[in-house]
Amino acid sequence: MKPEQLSPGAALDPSSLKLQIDAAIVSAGLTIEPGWRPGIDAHFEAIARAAAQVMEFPLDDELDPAPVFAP
Amino acid sequence: MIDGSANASEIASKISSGKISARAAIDTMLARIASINPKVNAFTDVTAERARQTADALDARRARGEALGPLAGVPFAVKNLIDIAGLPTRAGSKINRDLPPAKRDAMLVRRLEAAGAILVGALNMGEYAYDFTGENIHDGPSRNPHALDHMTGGSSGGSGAAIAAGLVPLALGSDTNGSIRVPAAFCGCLGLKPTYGRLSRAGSFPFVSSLDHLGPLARSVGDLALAYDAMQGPDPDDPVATTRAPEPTLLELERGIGDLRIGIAGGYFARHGDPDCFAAVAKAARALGATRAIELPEAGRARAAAYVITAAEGAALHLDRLRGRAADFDPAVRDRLIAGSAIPASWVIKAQRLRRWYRERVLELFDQIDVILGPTTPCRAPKIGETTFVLDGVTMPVRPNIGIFTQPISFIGLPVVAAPVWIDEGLPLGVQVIAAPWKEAHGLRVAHILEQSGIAQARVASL
Repeated sequence: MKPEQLSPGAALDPSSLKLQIDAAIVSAGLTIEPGWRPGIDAHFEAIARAAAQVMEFPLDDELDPAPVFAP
Repeated sequence: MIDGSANASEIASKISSGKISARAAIDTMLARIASINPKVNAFTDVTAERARQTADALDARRARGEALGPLAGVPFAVKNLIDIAGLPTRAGSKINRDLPPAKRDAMLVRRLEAAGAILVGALNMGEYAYDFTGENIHDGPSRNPHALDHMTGGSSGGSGAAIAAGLVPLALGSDTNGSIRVPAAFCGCLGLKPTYGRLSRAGSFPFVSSLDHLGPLARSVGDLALAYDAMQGPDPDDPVATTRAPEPTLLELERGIGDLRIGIAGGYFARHGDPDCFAAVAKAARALGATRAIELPEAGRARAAAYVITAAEGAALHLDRLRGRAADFDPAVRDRLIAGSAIPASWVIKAQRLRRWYRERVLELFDQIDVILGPTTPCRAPKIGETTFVLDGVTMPVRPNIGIFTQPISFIGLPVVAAPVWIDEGLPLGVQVIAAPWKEAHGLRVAHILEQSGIAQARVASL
């Protein structure tokens, strides 16, 4: 087992999450109404909490991602 | 004649033997849909004229002495993300109504009709299938036939409502994270989510390609098997459809379960829910003589990974629509999708690698066990409009958390029969009968024993 050195806590910092959303909205060219933002932020926090559980779990480097492409 | 409680196999038997005509059966069911659907809001389209023409053609074939197929004259309906020729495939959305009409039926519709079944319409669903409630801001919520002010569950809410209201004996749904199994539990009907890749998804509107499945809902295990057997087969139009030979299940049902080792999911699956949902599992386990607890390793993390993949793939799929028509989405779906667009690739790839790890660990369990029982939902159907509930002492949002027990199973594509269990006079609960990949027959055999012992019952509501 080769543990991956990751800091899930950093990913859950609220101001960092908001910055991620800001960047995504700009880079994807989305236009959002101000009233939508609290809902978006809450959903992204939930996703980030789930992602932290995934990111903190050590996995072997050799483990392939699940989807397989057959040429 | 037939009534709303007639099963698919009974209808097919009567029509094949000439006791009733397909046209009479269809006219009866169309009249029932017209009378009862306004109460449950299961249908978004009724394809009455097409159904009558198909029925007349079937009756003509019988008059010529032709065999009609195992689903002769069985009315069925499909979640409205499944293509029906001539209709735009709305997938629960407002936006997709502007799409051109589908040019042909989805593969599973064609296979069911080739077996003699008759399509009668399209069914309500949560927008773009990102839903566990059965609520829909554009078409109104589907309503639980057993308590009209309660949710059907989703996203195949119309499918569950149509079965429990006796509007059709057979419906198709889709299941990405639990969308067949949740409505089966809340509405008290049977559902089969087959192995990932077992049934073709060609001609259905996608949600999360990594996790999307199609499957049947019905009121008997025999009907699930009949429909499932008719729908198996390879399909080059779906890149994940298996090339394995079909493995018919109907005749397997009579084999009993003497050779099957049955366990009960413990750990994660024995927490995070109302006592009622665990009582339903215990009732089923007692009837089967199952006592062995099985722990699926890191099930909570698996669910978290499914959550991340779903949000990211869903957002990527809908990005153009979010750019151009964000205001036309259901706000509850739109905000989740926009949030999903901010997910870094590293989270998704790690989640897919965790999926590989979890699959390997769970497959090891199937060396020791054949079937695992677990709760389908953490509670009975909440009331329509409820946005939070309390699970295990923690208040949490309803919409994303109804699927906490279904997500870790579909995450690795295991076949599941969702069996409805009633522990008192209240609303039903569900038990997941989980089998190893490609072993749908194991789950169906166990569910059949639960049905024969009266533990699993799909009741038609009095409406």
